[in-house]
Amino acid sequence: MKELEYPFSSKTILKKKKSLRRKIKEKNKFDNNLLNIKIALLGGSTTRDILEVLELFLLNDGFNISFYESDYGRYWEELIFDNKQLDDFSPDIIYIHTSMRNIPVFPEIADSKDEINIKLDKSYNHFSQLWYTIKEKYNCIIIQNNFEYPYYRVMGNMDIYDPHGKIWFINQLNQRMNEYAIGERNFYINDINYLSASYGLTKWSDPYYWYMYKYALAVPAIPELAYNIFNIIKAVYGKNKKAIMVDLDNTIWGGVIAEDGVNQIQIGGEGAKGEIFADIQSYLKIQKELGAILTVNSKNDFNNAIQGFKRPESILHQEDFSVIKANWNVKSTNALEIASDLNIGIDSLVFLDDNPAEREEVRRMDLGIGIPELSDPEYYIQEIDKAGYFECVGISDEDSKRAKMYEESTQRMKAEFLYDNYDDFLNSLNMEAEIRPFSKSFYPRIAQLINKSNQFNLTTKRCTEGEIEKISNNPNNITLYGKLKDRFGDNGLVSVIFGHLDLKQHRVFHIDEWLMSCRVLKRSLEYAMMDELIKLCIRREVEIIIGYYYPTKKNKIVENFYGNMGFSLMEKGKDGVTKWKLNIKDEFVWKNKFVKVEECSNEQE
Amino acid sequence: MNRNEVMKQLTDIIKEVLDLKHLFLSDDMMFEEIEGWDSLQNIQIFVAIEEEMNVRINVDETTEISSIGMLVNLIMEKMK
Repeated sequence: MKELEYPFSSKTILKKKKSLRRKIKEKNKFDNNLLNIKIALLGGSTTRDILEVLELFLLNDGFNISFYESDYGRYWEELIFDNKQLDDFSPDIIYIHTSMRNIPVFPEIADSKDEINIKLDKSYNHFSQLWYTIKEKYNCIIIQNNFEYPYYRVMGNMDIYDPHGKIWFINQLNQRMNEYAIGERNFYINDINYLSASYGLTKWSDPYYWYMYKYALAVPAIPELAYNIFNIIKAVYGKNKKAIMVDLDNTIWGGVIAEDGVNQIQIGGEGAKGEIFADIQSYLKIQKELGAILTVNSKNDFNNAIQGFKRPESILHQEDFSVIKANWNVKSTNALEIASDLNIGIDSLVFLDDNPAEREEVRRMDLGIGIPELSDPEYYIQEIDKAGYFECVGISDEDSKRAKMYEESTQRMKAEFLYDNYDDFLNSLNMEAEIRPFSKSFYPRIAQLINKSNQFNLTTKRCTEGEIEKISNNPNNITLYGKLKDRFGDNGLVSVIFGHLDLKQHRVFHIDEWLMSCRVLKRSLEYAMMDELIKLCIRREVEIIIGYYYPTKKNKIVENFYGNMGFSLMEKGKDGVTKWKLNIKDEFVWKNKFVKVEECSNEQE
Repeated sequence: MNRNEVMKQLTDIIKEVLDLKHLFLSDDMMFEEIEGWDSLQNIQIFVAIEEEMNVRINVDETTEISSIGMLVNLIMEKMK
């Protein structure tokens, strides 16, 4: 599908994602040669659109994908701790989508060199531990993002050479990751450090998308990211292109050899044009050294055409080309013959031609040939290169020996950072919460959460800021918000509860809404919230708390929330609505074990 | 652009993002009443509005608007 081939329009892909998917799925229905693969996408930030766009590129290239997507931000926990769902899924590929925002510790200005080195180890091990775990448990392909630069430099230029600088620190981490990758089979770096530079870091890291949607990169950049991952995957599965067919005149030298004569064509030597074509030839020569097969597909007289390679400045020579078709056939016919001469699939070819009419003639045949849009000669290299036809994934034997060495030293480090169980991990997070009745300054954030949260949301009530103010000011209500900090940083306001005292039945309290942001799922904050709610209820002489669950398409994860909290089921409606009851006059158990809750001095009464 | 033109362009964007054949928007329509509009599609719609109409919906504005009428007003306001 043209929309998904390089050079694509990111804007179109993002906007038409849904209909593109529908169309390819229809097209693929009749294809029996689809390659089934299972990809687990584990993210340190929002991943939904990345997954959807990656799927498009893969579907378009004959893959059939099943996906596993981690909960928001839980790339680490879902790998390190028992995860039956992921075990059962048994991935072929695990893609870890992390960014500089997921680096656990950075140097501080007062740190000594030793302290910085310890932090470097700690940050590196946070990630390397994942790779070892994957190797042991799943033994599958790993694709890991390296780190992009931050979008600001506190120290200015010194940020790159002083060890207190974030840029210095990120370069060290990236370098360590490279050293690991070079000898490691099945481990591939998705180089977002390069991608973000190429895209423009200021645009790539536009903080708007982080604060709005918790995306670690700008949404418009997602197709570029997904295409880069796609290139790695297709290369790993042996679906790289194998051969390049080049046109001659104005494609690998300037001018028309039949008209201008061999001495007038521009290649090498003085002058911009000659330099440009020399660079293009050098680029193709390197592709050949890396394993691509070079061929010629040109409308020319054969004897005339090969004179061009005899020019002393020419970097490519006749013997660099495995097949030369210089004749007057249509180019798609030549392409079929070239593929058959080389005994490779026609879809393994790339076709370079400066003439849009020739490209269109070949494209029209729909043979799966890679045909980059070439604009002006000075851009050819960029235009070919970005398409990623020949993404390299191979490694030599010498490298794998070095790999062993790295493996042993990192194994040792790994042991130091493992936790025995999930409780230990929760403890290590040093979580601190602020749990208090609603106050004015938080109304906007509370409204945002109420209107956006879908999963951990018991009743999915929606209200405006004005309504929240009313709820908060009604003395008959109890409201609570929860903010959570941990050693990785401040998660902000992430949980909301409100409810009302029953006007008819004395000492009964109804929970109207209980929700929590997916950012902090499985951090046990809900237990701390429950304890605080019970404390307030006791102060108001409540004896019975009643909770409700209204099912929606998205909130199944909290179906049994009140049951888990020790409530007993009172009734279940036809529509799946359940009503739960907790008697706090009788004995109940405080549930919070891991979150330190800040004492609250001025209570709402 | 007048109000009708904004409404028309917005209809086209939403139709395309949500892959709907037919869509008739009215001022009093709430986002959640539109088939397939959820918090994830929200992102795509706002991104498309920014790309095509050159209007960025800010962080605090997202919490203030919930209906098509409010969105159109906001876009018109920002286009001035």
